[in-house]
Amino acid sequence: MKKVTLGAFEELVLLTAGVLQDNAYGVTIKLELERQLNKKISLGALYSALQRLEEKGWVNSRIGGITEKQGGRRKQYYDITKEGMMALDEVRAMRNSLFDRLPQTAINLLK
Amino acid sequence: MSQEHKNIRPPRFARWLLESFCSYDFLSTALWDLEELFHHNAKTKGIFKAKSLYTIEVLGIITHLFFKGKSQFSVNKIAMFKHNILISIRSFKRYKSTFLINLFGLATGLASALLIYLWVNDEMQMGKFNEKDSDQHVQLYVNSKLADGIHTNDRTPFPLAKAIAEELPEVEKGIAIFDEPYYKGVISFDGNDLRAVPLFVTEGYFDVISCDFVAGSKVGALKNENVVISLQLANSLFSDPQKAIGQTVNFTGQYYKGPYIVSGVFKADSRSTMNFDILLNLDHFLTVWRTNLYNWHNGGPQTHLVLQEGVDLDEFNTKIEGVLNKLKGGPQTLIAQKYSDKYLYGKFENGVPAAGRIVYVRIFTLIAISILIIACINYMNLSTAQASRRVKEIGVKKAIGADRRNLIYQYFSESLFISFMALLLAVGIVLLLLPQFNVITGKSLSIVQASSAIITTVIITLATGLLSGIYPGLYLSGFKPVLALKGKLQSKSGGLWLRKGLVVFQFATSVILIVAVVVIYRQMSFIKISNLGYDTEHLISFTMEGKLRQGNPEPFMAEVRKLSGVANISHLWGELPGDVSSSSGFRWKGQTPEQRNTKFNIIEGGYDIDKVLGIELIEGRFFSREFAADEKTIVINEFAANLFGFQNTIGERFDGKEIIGIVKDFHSKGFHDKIGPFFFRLNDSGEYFFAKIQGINQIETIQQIEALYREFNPGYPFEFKFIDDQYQQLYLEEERTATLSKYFSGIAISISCLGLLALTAFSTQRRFKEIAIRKVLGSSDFGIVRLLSNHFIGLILLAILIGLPIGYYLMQYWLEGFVYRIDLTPALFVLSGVFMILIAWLTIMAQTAKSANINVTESLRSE
Repeated sequence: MKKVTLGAFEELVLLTAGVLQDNAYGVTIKLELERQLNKKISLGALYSALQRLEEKGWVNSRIGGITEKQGGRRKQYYDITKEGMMALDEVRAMRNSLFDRLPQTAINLLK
Repeated sequence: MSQEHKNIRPPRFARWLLESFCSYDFLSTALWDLEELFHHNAKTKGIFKAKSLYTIEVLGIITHLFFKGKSQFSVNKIAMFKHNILISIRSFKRYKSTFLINLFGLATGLASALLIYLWVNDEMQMGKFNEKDSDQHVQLYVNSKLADGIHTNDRTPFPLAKAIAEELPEVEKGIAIFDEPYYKGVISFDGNDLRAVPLFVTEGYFDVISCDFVAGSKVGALKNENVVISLQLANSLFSDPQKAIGQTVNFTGQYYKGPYIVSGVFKADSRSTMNFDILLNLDHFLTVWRTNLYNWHNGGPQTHLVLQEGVDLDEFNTKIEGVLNKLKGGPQTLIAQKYSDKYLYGKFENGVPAAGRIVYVRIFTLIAISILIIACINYMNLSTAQASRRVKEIGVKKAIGADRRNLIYQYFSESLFISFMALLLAVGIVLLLLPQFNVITGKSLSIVQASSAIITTVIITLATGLLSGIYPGLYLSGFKPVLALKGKLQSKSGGLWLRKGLVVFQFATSVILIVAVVVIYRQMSFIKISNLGYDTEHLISFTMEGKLRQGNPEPFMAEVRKLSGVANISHLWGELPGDVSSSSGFRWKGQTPEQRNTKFNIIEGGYDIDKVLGIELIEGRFFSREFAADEKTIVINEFAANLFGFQNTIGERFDGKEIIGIVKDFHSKGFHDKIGPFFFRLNDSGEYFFAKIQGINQIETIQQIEALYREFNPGYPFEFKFIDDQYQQLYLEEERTATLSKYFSGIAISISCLGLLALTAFSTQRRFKEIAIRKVLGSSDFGIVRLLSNHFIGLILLAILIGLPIGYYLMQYWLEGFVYRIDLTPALFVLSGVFMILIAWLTIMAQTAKSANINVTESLRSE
């Protein structure tokens, strides 16, 4: 079976969805990401990332808002799943282990 | 408040776009986010910004759906569109030759249409650069009734512009523009002498005609001695246009001489049809230098008027008809034409505007449309002929639920797809050919210059795609699924007839174009070889001005005659080919009352002008220095002699002058104009010298003449022209038409033949087995070739039968513009027909001969 991977942009979206907790939907994720990254993010790119994450089972979507549907519109929330958290953790662990192996001279460059 | 809230709404178009591309579930999610974002943006960034951001987001979402998204989030349309393109690309790959023929045909068709569009667009812009254009700016013409019909002239009386502005309340402003070629002069500054063409205008000129100033101000720019010069002139005299302002230059011509002050520098507009280097005040010219010109009887300047807004031109025309009679008396009438129409409809026939250059615009538009249609027909025929190759695909699609509309949609997207591919190729071709095209047309067209070109191109391409796709779409989508899956094609006779009809149409158009090319070429060579009545070979002319015009030119001419390379020299009033002066109202014995109005051309020249021009004398003698009284005699042409009808013409009197000789008719203006009566009169002055030189060492001879000219007439540049070159210039427009029609017909015929080639190839391929069996049974190669080509040859013959009469009619119309023209003999048409048959036959033969040689065993074994 092909290994399911987490892309860089997907990782950011997943993290943001986790950070926003119950209030993670299209606009909030977009605005938060824009604030963090300091650049424009299009909704189209965000939707395709969310769709991929959902397919991989790392987020669950639920319909929320005042009423379920209002004039053909509905609010779709995204919640991070346990598997999603695990995927994030895995990526982080992998990064940390790589970072720990950096030679001291390279780390000194930071200072 | 609620009113305000209502206005804060996302742009409707973007929402509609989103709705038509997204599946319902996804749409509702996206809409919520988009709207929340929109209101957020509206508050922080303003409504306008929010709206544009909304649209950008929508486009982003659609792009993502199209290229990366999962199909459940988008509507079927996107998936189908992708699928259709994929199927098209596969079928292009599989049938490469058909695809290439279609692509190449459409691309050349589009490229020709684009080139012609650029040219037509440029023609339509000519003379239309004035701010006051629209309907208000008109030019006046004088209609005079003469013996052979109404003659229209743009030379109006000098006082007319002012008088008519006072007379009629509809006229807001009237100006006079005097562009008499007699008055060209030499402008001098700091030892630099340059020839300059003046335009004398009244002071309101800039209010009527737009003029771009590079330096100086328009206020008072034409007051008294103030003049405005062209950028080109300013650059050659002063190196910098700014330095020219306020400088005093000397400008000298036949009737004026003196210091003028440069008050402005203008940049010539490429759309202007008037050609001049220096603008001067007409009133100043008339009061200081030519005091006797300003009256109602001299033909003078052009009169331009600006009408009040809302004045109807037709009503205005009925009103001004009698104005001239009221102002000056006499039978002449006035007619006004919109100035913006002058370039395309500048030809008057019997007192009303008739065609003009618009004829060429129409001819080429027609050619462009024909070429495009021919290319579209290729596509239609090839797609439908190949229906059998795709019949299973259609059957499967229909079986799993595609309705007819889906299939039509598929074929349209395929034809549009190929059209836009062809467009890319066409733009490349146009870029490649444009420099050459500019040389032929004498224009400086560029593909970016016409901003409307982009929109028009897209519209033309869309139309091409739709036109090409309409028949295949309707035809192929109509198959019955069961039959289609069995591989059986219903051969509807209707469809077959239509295809045949299209081939006939294609070739009929090609035949018309061949006829056109043949006729145009015959007419052009007829003009070139026809005898003008005078000998233009080795004949040069140069201006007679300064001391040579005011003083006695004889010593100069005597020196020139001594040169070994010069046969003879004389002088003349007027240009050849071109205008000479004319007048009417002469009297002679036995004249009818109508003949009083006969217009005579008057050629005033020196001794020997007959020898220089090589005019043949029929009776009597020409002017001679041996007869002192020759100033009071005239020499007439044959036409005039026939008009008078004297028994013994020599010695009779015409308007009190003795007729001493008759010369053969000659064309002074070229073949566009009819020969009329004219007479020669002796004059010791003139406008141009004409010199007949020997055929050898011409450059040396001309240099010797130039040296003499400079010696006798210092301060005037020596510029000469070869008369035969000038004569060629007269037919520049026809030459261009001939060259262009040759190329475009070539393109049309090639596209038609390409289509024919592909059709024959296809139909022979399908009959390989039949051919093999026939060969086994003993049919000869020739028999098979005949079998395969008969069908197509029949269609071509029909096309020729249809095309020839239409070609005849159209070319008759074109030839009417020439007074002296070729007869449309049957031989021309037989030639065109045979040519067409030959080309078509060769095309068909190339394919069928190959098929007749097939290996019988190979083709039968495949079963």
